Amino acid sequence: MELQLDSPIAKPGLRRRTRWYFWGMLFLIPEIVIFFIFLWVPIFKGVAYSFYNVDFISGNSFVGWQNYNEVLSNPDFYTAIQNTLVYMGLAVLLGFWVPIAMAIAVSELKWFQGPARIVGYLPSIIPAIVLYGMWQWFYDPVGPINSFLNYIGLPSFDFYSKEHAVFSLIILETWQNFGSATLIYIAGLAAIPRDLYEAAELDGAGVWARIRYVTLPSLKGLLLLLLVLQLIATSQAFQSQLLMFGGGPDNATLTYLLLTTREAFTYFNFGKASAMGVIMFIVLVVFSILTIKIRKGGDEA
Amino acid sequence: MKKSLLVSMLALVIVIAGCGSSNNSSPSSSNAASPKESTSAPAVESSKEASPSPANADPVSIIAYAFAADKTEENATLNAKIKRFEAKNPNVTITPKYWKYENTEIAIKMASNSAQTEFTTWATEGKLLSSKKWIIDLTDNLANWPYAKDLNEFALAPYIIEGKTYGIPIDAYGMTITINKKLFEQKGVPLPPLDWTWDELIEAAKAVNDPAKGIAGFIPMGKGTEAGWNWTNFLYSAGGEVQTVADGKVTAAFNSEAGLNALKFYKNLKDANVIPKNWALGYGDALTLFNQGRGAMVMCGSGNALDGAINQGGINKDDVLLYPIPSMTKGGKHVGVAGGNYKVINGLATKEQQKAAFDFVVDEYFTDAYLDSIDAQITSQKAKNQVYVPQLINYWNDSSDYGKKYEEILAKHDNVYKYSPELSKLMESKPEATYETQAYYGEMANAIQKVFTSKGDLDLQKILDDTAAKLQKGSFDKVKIE
Repeated sequence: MELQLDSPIAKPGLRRRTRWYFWGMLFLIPEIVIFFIFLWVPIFKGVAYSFYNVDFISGNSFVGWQNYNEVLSNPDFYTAIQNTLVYMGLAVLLGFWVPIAMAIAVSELKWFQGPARIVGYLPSIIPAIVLYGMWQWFYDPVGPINSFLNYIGLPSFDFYSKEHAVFSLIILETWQNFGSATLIYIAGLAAIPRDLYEAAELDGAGVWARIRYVTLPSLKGLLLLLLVLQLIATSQAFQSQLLMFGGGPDNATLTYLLLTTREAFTYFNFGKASAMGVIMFIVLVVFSILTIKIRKGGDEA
Repeated sequence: MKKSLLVSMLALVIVIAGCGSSNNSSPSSSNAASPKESTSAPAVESSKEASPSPANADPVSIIAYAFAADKTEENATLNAKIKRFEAKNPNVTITPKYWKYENTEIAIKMASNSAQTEFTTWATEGKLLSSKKWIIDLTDNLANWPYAKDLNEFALAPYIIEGKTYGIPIDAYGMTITINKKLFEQKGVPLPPLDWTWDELIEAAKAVNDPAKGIAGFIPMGKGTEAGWNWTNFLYSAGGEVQTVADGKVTAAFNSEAGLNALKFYKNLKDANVIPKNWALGYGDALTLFNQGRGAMVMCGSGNALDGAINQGGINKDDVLLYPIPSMTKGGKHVGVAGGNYKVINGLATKEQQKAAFDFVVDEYFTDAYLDSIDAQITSQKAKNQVYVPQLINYWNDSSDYGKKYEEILAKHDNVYKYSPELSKLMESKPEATYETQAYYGEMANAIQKVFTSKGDLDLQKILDDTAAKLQKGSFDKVKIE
């Protein structure tokens, strides 16, 4: 307010700008302080601890690159990376299109759009402990899915086998998480100008043509953003792996973050766990920068 | 505008990525203060400042190990004990606080210095907690305590590490197999003899097995470290060892002939199709299946599975039976893993707090007050139609006067589970391995899952050798024996 009252001619330009920045910075301070305490300090400490043998009582001791050497020489490290990449890839293949299809289907509804949105979002509000108990029952040899398969004359499906365990997790995760992505897509769809559809209809475009040439291109930015978010979320997956299969059978669902938590909280090697966290951090930062670059390149072209 | 929005969203993504990886390091990063600075609890500092009188008994505040809120009877017993102790020691203030020991949580509790001053832990944890100095050496405290010599030696053994005592036993168990008698009766299958063998277990499991109804003959735990814990019973009953210690070096020993036999036994269970298809069963999952009547046999510490089946699962106490771990061959030993619960003192507390906590823990050991509290607990369980399942081994010796008094109390009530004397005679319990036990259990879980989920022939010896080699390099070789 004060700035507006002052006459612009009376103040020299530099002072005015300094004052302007001063107020700006003042408003930023709470955010900077919170980020500093809860984000940057832990990140820097994580990096520092990756070079230490962490001991709360006798004090930490510097061990150089030892933690990194041990992490890299652990065969489980490579198994975990491979499992995580497979999980990320399969989650995109099997799960990424589900919220898009759901959002388009819901927005095409003439009636009951509100209830349909709520139904789609319901799985997201189920508490984890109930969720895993529920899916254990769904996947049970005598549970509803296998009972249904047997009823229609098909053999039972072993959701717990080494080959199928990762698929079982992706079905579970997709079911639980598609609701929030659907809401974002519905919002994106609402932002597409109606006249584009009207023009397409005048040109004789059917439903599929409208989706192919109007809806999907308009959602391009959102699709890329949610793809990146999904990749980052699935690269850090460990909760369902831990609770459903404990990383098994025989490390088939051992993801990178699960190995990190196991290193920290089962074996208490906090230095090694920090080293794994740092490696993950670097990979994700590089990945994010690359995505921005690619996106910028795409826009300029 | 759209572009800048996208760029800022991606910046947010980077921040989220940072969040994720910082999660990994947060337990260590919360240890910002130097260890020495963080040793005194704020409560004590303030109380010291408030009353700086140099009286010979300075005020001390400690935190006691409380039970979950729904365990009203246990918490009432604890509160009464606190009141009696505080009356005798007016300088000590005790606050009960609930946190149940978990091996996956203890590091966070220690890093944030939020574990109780005295807490309860398991037999496996002694070496680990003492080597990290998270619990204190109690040898000197015990030297000044008149009842130290009366403690049950078998129960105490896991906490005597390299000549020093780190914990006080509460109770101990030997592993048993709990049988759902009703499932046997429903199928018209005779119960196996109490001195059974591995083959008899498989035969019984086959007979009572009913996969179409989702009933498994036998439920071995297959997920988490408990998978290795369960399997070790068969390793022991085949005469095997987890590790050997010589010349300050720990060597893996479970890939022996005994280990091979034990793993073959697991393979036979799988081939006979008597175990649940869902191999991913942790401790709780396995007991839940048993309580639901979806498995005829489960392995657990003495009466724990039976306790849950009767008091939570609603199974009639006459429908569950306890068996020892079967012997490998007829007439062989029925050796199972021994474990138990122990009281330990937090290494981060001040000397005064540690002393007060020790005094509080042992205050009513070997007293009538302790027996009275058990008496009251049995009475209150009777009112709720529950059965009191005593531990097989307690902190006292059964043959002592105190042990006899305890027996008299149990005899007074009709809702106390009675172990068959024959079972106690057959059972032999062997302590868990001392070094890197959780790492061993965790690695064995992978080997067991391989056996439970693979089809066709497996080179079991190779699986064991690979597991042993990995453990040796990753864990055992790093053990420093002082």
